[in-house]
Amino acid sequence: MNRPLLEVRNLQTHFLTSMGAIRAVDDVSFSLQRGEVLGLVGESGSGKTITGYSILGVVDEPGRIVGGEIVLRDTEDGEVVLNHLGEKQLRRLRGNRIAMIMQDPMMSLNPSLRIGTQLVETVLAHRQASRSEAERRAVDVMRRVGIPDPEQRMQAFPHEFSGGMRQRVAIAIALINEPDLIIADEPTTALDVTTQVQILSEVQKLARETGTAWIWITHDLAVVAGLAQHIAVMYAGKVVEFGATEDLLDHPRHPYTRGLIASIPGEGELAADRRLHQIPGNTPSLLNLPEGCAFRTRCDRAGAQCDIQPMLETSSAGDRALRCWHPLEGQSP
Amino acid sequence: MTEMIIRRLLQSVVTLLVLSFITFAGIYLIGNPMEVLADESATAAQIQAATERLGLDQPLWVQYWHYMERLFAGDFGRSYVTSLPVSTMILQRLPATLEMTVISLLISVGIGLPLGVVAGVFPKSRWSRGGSVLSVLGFSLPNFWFGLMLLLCLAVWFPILPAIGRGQTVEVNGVAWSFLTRDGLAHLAMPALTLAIGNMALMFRLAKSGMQEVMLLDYIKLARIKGLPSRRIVVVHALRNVMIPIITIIGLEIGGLIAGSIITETVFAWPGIGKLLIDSINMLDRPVVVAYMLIFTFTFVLINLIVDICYIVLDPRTREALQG
Ligand SMILES: Nc1ncnc2c1ncn2[C@@H]1O[C@H](COP(=O)(O)OP(=O)(O)OP(=O)(O)O)[C@@H](O)[C@H]1O
Ligand code: SF4
Ligand SMILES: [Mg+2]
Repeated sequence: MNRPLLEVRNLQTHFLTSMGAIRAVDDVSFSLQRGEVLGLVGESGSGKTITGYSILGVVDEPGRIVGGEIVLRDTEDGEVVLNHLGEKQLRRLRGNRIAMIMQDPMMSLNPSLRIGTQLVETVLAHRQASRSEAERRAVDVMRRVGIPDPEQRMQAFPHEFSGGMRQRVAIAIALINEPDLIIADEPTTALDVTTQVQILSEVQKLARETGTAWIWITHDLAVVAGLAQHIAVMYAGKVVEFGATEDLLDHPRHPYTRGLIASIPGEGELAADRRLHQIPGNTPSLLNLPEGCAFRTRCDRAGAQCDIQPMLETSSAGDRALRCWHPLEGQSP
Repeated sequence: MTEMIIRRLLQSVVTLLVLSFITFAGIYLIGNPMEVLADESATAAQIQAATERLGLDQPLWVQYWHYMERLFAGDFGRSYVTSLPVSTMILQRLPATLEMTVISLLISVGIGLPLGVVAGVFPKSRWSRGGSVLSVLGFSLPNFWFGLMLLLCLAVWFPILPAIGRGQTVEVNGVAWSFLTRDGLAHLAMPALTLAIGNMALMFRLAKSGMQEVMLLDYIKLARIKGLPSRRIVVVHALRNVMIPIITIIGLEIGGLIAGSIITETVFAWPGIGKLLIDSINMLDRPVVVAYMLIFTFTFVLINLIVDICYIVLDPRTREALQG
């Protein structure tokens, strides 16, 4: 196996508020090969977005990476530890080698700048290109993500675009510099189902064509089941299980993963029925989270040992990782 | 857009008409100018003759009608006191006020806005907090207080700046300007600064809170994620959106400046139209006062129009609403 493009090791990003530390990301580890799609799955508030921001070094105050390493490799085997880079060096990587599509397509485009400007500036920030070259690139990438009439649409403002079209623009912005890695933060949840399906299949096609690696963030396992090669499941700021998609879906070992799988509607099942299978209870507050497994208040396998925080144990083959004292025996859910 | 401009100008004509009448009637009610104008030795017959000559014996609405008739012919009338044409008197004084307000506006926007922007980008920094505290003082203390303090400090205790008057002026096309000479600029400094302080504080606060808010928005995050240089993020992405409300306030503040200039001119004996207005009110010199009000209102309407045009240029959404 090649050395991974991105390796996140024991990442910790905390918000140091006056009320105490919010451990939004607290021991997250995963790795990702070139051209691979990794699904990052977890409930709302589990720290998926902050993990993405941490990789890019754009966590807002009072948030800070307080531990761990984010390693990015380039083709010639050189590697950089992103969280040890200065702002200047990081800026050169952002939008260039690593891009991100933000969660809300309605809010992430600047309302007072033309779509063309917002694409072109992304090119000019990283390349010695003329304006017309950058514009050609922009038109090209807009066409690739399925925006009709790209030459005309360059002149438009975001409010003249529908939600689906804005999301395509956001994807185009991420693609425009042909990055090695794109972090896609639930880029389809705000859209209607038809558009979702359309964009997903386009992204799959793009991933195959360009060799770009993707981190696909979602709270919906079903979305990444057909998209990702690997899945990392997050709970309360921690990765609780990691594995190859099929293996993980067929043989979940963490009780939380099993719960997530059970909540995927089966063939012909109505989406409304999902609620029946949902894991009881809520995500705990991350502020001053007590010691021990954070899932234990909702876990049917919890025992006395679960008052101690379990570590993320990687299997000997290195392709599976698990954080649980009493894992399931890898049986089908 | 042309339609909007025309609609706006028509509205302003109505405003001007109403305002002119209110001012006219207001001064009429305050008193009879003859009591102020006539000197003690004047006989009853002389006073009677002067009253008739000025038309003051006629009922209010007739007087107003005559005034408006002349106004539409482009004649603002003559001052009761100096007998000079009002237009001449105002034109003579206008440049002094104009240069004071323009320079004061440049100071307040030119200093308050950039400082506020920087403070908004780094809200946690010590001097950003310090600036906020100072800015509260800046707009809660009255204008004339700063004027007096400046006078005390810079003209009395450490006499480095001249206290009153316009100083040396230069004539350009028959209009005298102070800001073109060193001495004139020295004379301008204190009044312009006095007038600027309140606005500078306001600009600082608006820019700071606006930037602070905008910097947290998703599109700024995306701008960072795209790896744009921070200068571009602040100036192109954030400031542009912050400027939309600020332009409106600047427009309003220009009106405020003209009003504020009346007091500042009195403090520094600055011979502008504000001082002319105060003198004219004291003398019940109705033609001058009404003309001042009309010019003032017209300027105000004009500024608002310019603000709206800026708005349309800056905000694509309004542009579309107007076209649609
Ligand atoms: N600016 C902030 N200040 C304090 N805490 C924050 C801040 N931003 C995020 N958090 C905390 O970090 C936690 C993780 O947030 P994050 O946005 O990564 O969740 P998520 O997994 O992306 O959820 P969602 O599916 O709702 O987007 C949240 O529970 C929140 O408490
Ligand atoms: S560690 Fe214990 S509480 Fe946590 S998931 Fe495993 S069994 Fe459940
Ligand atoms: Mg999120």
